[in-house]
Amino acid sequence: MKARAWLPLAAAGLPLVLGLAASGLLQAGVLPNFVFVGRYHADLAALASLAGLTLSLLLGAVIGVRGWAGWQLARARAAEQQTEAAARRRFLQRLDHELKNPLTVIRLGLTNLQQQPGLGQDPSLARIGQQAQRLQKLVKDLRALGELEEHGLERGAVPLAGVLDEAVALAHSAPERADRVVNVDVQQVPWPLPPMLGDRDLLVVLFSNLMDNAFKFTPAGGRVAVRATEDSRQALIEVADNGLGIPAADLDHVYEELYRADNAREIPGSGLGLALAQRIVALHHGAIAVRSRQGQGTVVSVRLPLAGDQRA
Amino acid sequence: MPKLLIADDEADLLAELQPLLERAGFDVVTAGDGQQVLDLAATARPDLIILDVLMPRLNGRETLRRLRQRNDWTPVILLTQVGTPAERAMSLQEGADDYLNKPFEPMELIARVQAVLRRTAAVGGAAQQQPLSSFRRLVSGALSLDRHTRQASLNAHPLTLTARALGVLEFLMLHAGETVARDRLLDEVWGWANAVETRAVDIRIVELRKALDDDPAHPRFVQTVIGEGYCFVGRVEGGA
Repeated sequence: MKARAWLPLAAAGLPLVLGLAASGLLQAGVLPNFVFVGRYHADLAALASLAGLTLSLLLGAVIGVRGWAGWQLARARAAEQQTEAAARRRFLQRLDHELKNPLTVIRLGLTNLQQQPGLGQDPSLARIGQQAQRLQKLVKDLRALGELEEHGLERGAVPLAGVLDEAVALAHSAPERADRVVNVDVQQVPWPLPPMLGDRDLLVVLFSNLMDNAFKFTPAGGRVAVRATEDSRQALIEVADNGLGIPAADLDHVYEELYRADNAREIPGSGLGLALAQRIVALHHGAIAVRSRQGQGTVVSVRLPLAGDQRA
Repeated sequence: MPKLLIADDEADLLAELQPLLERAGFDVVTAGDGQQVLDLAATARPDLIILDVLMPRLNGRETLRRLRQRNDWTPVILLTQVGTPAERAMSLQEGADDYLNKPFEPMELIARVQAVLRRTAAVGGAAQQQPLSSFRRLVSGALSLDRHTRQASLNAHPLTLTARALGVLEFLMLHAGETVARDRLLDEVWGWANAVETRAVDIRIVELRKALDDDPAHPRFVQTVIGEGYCFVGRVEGGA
């Protein structure tokens, strides 16, 4: 046990220990009943208890101050993280805003060029068009992230199996992903997983994003497993894959907007999927965690309240 | 040839938008700010105005307000920038006939212009007709929707609808007679549309039909246009 953990025990036990020791010694006749403190005649047992009480109060004060300082520190850290997240969101909104006009002009200009005789199939223009589409998707995703805060949640009892099936259908639909094996297992025994409390549409967004990542980072022939069980009166949903995995150094940053792990740069994506997922989980008062081993795969686990839980 | 007045402070945007709309068969007049729009609306008499929201001096919203104040009901499509749900709702309440978020698909803008022109032509062909979006209440037979209190009623009985189902109903009624694609409904009502499957829309339509007691085979209100989307088939009128 750490030294810190002994402090409260010591604080509570000290007067008792000192009192017992003093009375033992008095009983045995080792110590006299009264001692002189300066000019005063004092009861030794009372003195021992007083010393114990003083020490106990001192230790109590130390524990209190440490606890208070720790709590203050944690509060300051949380506030700092919130401010940071808000600043990041403001920056992304501004970026989104600033990208809109240039993108509009680029798309209009491109359409004008492509409507000119002989340029309709021009490969350079097609490439510019694809890149403009990519930018547009980024702008749209940034907007989605911002709008989540503005839309209220429409909470209801949501059976998870339907949500997961829909999310799989969305994420697995691309023909190039057909050779990934996907397995969805929703708890049926000893009892079926109860419905969750949440916004059905947002939950589809959440799980389709997680599955989209799983498919994206899993090479041909790879496997994606989705498991949903009841755990401590919550739904625990895991999306696992045996794909690339995330380097340990990148794990702390995966929820940051536009962050892309070192080994993911060549795979197309906006870097907003997990940020969006984390936001949706937070709006549902749930928790999200990522475990990964590079070269072996990744598991994203999400905990969400069940419909019987009144907290959310 | 219908005449369009387009206003944006970005000269490059006007330079690209003008030939595109001209090729689509419109006569195009351009303006660089809101004040010019107010002048040209009176002199050039356009059939429709496309207004950017963020313009210096007189912004798009203020320009729209002043047009409506002087009883000019020329159809207006707003080009919005921020695109938050609140801003979009505001655009329609301020008397715009439609709005489009930047960056838009060029062909989508042309489709919207045609749809608004068709819609205004259908209700009397007058450019001086007050758009449905400027009314607080939308009424179609026994169905009434109060856009302020966010409450719909059928035969004077309040309906219990989720906010999204009500949003879908409002959007379809405002675009009555027009087929609205599921994607667009997702974009307009949900906002974070890109990742949700269009089934989310179908679920709300089922909810609406149940509340409205509307038979999909013989719809009084919402018709499914197979392969395209949904269309509000009742005649919609505005009320205070």
